[in-house]
Amino acid sequence: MWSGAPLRHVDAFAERGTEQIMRLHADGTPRRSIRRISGMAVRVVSDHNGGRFLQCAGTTAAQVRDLGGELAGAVDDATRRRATDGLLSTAGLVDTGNTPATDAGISVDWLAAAREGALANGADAVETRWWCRDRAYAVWRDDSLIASRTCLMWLTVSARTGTTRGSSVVAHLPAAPLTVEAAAQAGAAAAGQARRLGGAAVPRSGPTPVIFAPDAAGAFVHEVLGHALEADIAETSAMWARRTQLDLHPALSVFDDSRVPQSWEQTTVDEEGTPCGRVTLVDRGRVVGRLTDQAHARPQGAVSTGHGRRGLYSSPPIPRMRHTIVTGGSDDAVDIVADTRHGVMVLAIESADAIPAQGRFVMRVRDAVEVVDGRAGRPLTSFSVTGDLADLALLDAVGSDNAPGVLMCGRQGRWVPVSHDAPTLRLPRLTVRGRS
Amino acid sequence: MTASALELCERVANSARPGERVEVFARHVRSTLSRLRPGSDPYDQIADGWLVGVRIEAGGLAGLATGNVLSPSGLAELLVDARRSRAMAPAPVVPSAEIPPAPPALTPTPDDNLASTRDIALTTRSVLGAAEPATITAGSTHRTVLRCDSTGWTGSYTQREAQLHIRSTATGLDAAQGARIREQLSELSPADAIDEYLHSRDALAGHPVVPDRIDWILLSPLVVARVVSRLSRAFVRPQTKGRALDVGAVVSGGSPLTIVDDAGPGSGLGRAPFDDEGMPRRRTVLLSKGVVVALLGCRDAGPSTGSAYWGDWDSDITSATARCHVEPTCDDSAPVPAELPGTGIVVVDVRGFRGGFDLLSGNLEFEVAGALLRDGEFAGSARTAVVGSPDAVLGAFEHVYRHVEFYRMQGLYGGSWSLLNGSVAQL
Repeated sequence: MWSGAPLRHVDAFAERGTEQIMRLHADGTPRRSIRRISGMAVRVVSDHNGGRFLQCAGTTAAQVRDLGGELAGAVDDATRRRATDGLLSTAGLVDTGNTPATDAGISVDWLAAAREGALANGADAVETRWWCRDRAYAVWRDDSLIASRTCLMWLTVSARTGTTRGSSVVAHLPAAPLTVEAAAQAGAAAAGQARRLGGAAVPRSGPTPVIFAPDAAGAFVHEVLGHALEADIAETSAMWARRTQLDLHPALSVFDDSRVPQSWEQTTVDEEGTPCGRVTLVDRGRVVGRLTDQAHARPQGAVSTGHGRRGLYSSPPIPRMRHTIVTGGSDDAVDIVADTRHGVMVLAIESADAIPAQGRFVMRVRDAVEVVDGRAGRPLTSFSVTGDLADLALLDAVGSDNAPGVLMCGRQGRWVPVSHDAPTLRLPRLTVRGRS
Repeated sequence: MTASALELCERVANSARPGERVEVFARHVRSTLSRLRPGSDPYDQIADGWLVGVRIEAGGLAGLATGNVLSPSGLAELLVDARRSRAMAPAPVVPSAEIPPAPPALTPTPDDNLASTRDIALTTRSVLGAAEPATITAGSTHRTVLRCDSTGWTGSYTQREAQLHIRSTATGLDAAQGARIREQLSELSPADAIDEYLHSRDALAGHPVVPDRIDWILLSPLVVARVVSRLSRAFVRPQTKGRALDVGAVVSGGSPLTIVDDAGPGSGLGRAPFDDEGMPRRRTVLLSKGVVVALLGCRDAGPSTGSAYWGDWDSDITSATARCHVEPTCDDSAPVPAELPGTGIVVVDVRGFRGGFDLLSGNLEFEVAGALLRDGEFAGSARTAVVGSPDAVLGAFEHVYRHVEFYRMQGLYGGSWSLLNGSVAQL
């Protein structure tokens, strides 16, 4: 069908890695599982009827070549030869040069420390998990070969006191390595949250000023602003469509930059072999940029911003955030709370359901406290917060207390590690809905 | 392929040392996908790969390792990993009487190919019209599952699944969608998916208003399936943390709802003779008229109901639904919305979160959107929150009409048109 069609490019991707999960059950018994990943994919982009893009994925170069049998008639022999060359190059590099191996022994100490931290802070039962994703990959593109390796580790703690649960996560960052002390603090934080929620009150429903503490603010910006500006979503997002009319707080600037040591996945090249840099999404209140991969940059005649992420070799890359930074403003976080007569302060978001096409968002808050007469008060039970672009435009305070945070972000069934760095933010009118 | 792959797995299982039980599980998936998106290059994909697991039990401990290469060296590597992992793990209780006889081996007949998948997408695009701003995705999956262990148990089966999905790319309408899933590509009807898509698109057009009165709520099959996918999590036995409902608990005394997980042997989408631990799959009634009847379990969180799932990313074996749906409560077809009296919403989209569909905490709180009808007249797009206790929300179901449609959302979930009274709408 595509025989003789002008070739745009061929790229090949190969990946090899391990994932290990070690957990301590609530009764303290350990369990460990190991997963090995090895696979590769080839993509062909050719011009024919406006272009066609094809990906084959398999676990070995030979298998992908066999799958390429279905490419027969699709691309010419020269293209197939180039695809084969790329596969062999990437496969060789990953197999011989970069075989990951991680010693899981130290994780036992971290797990035990987290467990002790939770029990010492009143938890009745604790489950801790250590995750390690050690991954090497290579991209062959336009006759050049780029290799990278990432090793991500994190610890999750789930603690119970009575009938309430708390949880926390701590990641190994280049700028802040995972330590026994950090693990113990994560355990204490989970237990503290569970204890707080034990005496929580139901929030008053209706339009309410909402203060997002730094970690929650990072998650909020990630969900509401960041996703709406990932190029495949931005195509239909109200935020991108109305960007010229949208006036946000002049102190609000948002970037994505994975080269900094605070980034959970610190890298200088994306999974398409494109160098990544600092991308400005919001500049002093104006939406100005999007995150793109090759497929979404090219139709606009632009260069990819280096945000193509696969999640796994068998999935094609799509534009995803890595490390999102909200620059600090001039407001003191203490003053932001003090200036709030009645509202809620969100400490942790459980999940979010943004509806970019309508500019709306719905978030489930896991941990929050009431704010009365400028003071943080009673803890609140889980509740939802909804809003839209008009509410976002009312953002009236940007703190100066930036703090980092991490989360696993899922889109289209692909979970990737992301991090953020944000200060306290206040939105004076979001709709809070708690169950009475 | 099946015979040689199975032979390889058996060789590994038979390498068990004295006192060891070695289980080998292998799943081969070959899938094709073709996507047509306005303003972008057409996209085709073929993926072909294995998920392989080796599990070892010995001396009261069990170990697990997974990988994605089915080769002698790859399996040997996993065997070493599993033995290393075993040193850290407690053993599950496995009553030997529950180990079933091996089912007959099936031979896969891979006939779905990229060209056929692409044809379905192109036909749908042609019928829908080139100007319609919608992404069309067609796909087919051919899955072969092999399992054997050192007790001599061996089994295999194949499953096929074809999907067609249409989703709006118009600003403000990204929730408008239509989908169909069948066993074979040839069974897919673009017309059915297009009908569902157009219905959804028209219902969501325009900025949604919040109505001041709701007498009834009519949920589409897709929405019911999505609600079931969330609610069903409370019927899965926890392994190491979390909770599940108690068998015999009354979730909603006045509810007519019956929720079933039915992936047992037989013909039909998503059916299989055994689960990912080799236990027989079966039909399990989870909720009957608002009362919890059974929970889904695997050997690690037993008793097993044949619901073990060996996932792709988190390598633990967990319990999971395989083919869960709400059973119809009547033999009637869905009503014509325009003939329903008063004011109501024909719901084609549901929004919520993990905590908003929690039968355990009693927290049911989600948002629905669709077409507002006032005395039979279309009055625009509307949305409303549905909030209440499980008793109130599940008790609000008045009719679940016949003809269950299944959708793929990680697992397979099914639903049919369902009518609720409007008392649970929070205006």
